Amino acid sequence: MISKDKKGFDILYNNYSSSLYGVIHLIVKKEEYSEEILQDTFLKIWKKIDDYDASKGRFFTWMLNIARNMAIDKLRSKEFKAGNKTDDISSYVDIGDTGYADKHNMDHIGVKDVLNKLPEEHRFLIQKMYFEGYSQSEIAEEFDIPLGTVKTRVRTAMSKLRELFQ
Amino acid sequence: MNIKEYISSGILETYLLGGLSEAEAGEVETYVKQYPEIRAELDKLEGDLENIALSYAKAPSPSLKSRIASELDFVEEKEVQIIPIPSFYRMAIAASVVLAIISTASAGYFWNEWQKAEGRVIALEVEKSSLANNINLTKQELDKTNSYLSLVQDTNSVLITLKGSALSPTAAAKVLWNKKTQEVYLGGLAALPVPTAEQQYQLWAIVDGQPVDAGVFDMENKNVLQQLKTVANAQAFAVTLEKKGGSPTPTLAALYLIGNV
Repeated sequence: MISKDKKGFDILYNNYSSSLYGVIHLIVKKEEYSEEILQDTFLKIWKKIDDYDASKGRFFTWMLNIARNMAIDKLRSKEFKAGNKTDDISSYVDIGDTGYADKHNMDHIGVKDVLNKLPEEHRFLIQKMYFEGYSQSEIAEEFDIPLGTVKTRVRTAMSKLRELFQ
Repeated sequence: MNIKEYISSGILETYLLGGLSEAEAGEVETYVKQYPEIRAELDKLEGDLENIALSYAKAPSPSLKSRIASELDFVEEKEVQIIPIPSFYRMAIAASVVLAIISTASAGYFWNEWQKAEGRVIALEVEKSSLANNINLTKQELDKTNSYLSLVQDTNSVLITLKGSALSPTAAAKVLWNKKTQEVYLGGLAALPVPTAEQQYQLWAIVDGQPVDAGVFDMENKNVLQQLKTVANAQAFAVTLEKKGGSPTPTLAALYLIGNV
């Protein structure tokens, strides 16, 4: 699909680096880590691109997952925790930090901070699951929410997000 | 498997957000390949997640691209020999390079659009086949109702009300019997005690004082006319409770309903 020459890389990078970088940055928050992770992400995508299986889902989603997993791995690493002693990173990182939004001027897309528009209980689930890598059973156990409720809430959260984009 | 229930359980969303264990995720992937309706839903959700990611897009520093490129092993592009060329051709080549860039970009765009369209087509096909199913079911219902109607209107048909015996005085049923075609239908079941799993109610026609088996029937489908065995020259109908599958002669101690023609 994408040839593994310089041109292929240009296409990949020009089309996807900003979106992948945005998600990575949402997770780790720090520029220096984000760039390092984006670099690792592209190395991995480049290496694994032949493994991508179109019958399992979209290409962009596949790349997003690689980026997200690498960022979460970093988030959980000793190195990261040591560098953030003063911040309690296990606590809920507020996605909707307005400083972030202003600084990076996302207005041009016309959707500013959609996650922040979700009710707390829904934003919390997406934050824990998608941006911190919790599994549904970990969430159920740690925050004392029935497993079935986790699933249905996640579904409601996603359908609310869809509405926000329409 | 109930696909609608599966989709509305939230498992696909949880899968996409990475909340499932490996085993659970593997199961989802099997279903995705098996059921186009699930595939279409997943595709839609993937689109939602992509929208979210796009809304948070943020450019990394410009120097990063060359730093990453220097880490990658590229398959070599073909060596191009440089030959001086006349300026007209230079213009033509420049134009075709521009065209190539534009078409590469639009290929990417259209590929995306095609993916989205494909998802929509699958969803529409699923919807269409479920509509067709509904129409078929409705048609079958209508056919059945029409056949009941013509049965009732037939001048050879008689409607017999069966009344409860002392065993259950409030029980009732209707027998619709066509004297000419000898068809027997039973309906309007009311207040009959529910039989055990080993028992079934049996309809009898009384012909010249003798009971004739008219078949067993179930209590489900209370609102449907059940067609039983054909009977000729009946003077009365009766219902007894028998062992499952029916008996050759009626158990009179378990006579629940009776009515004369």
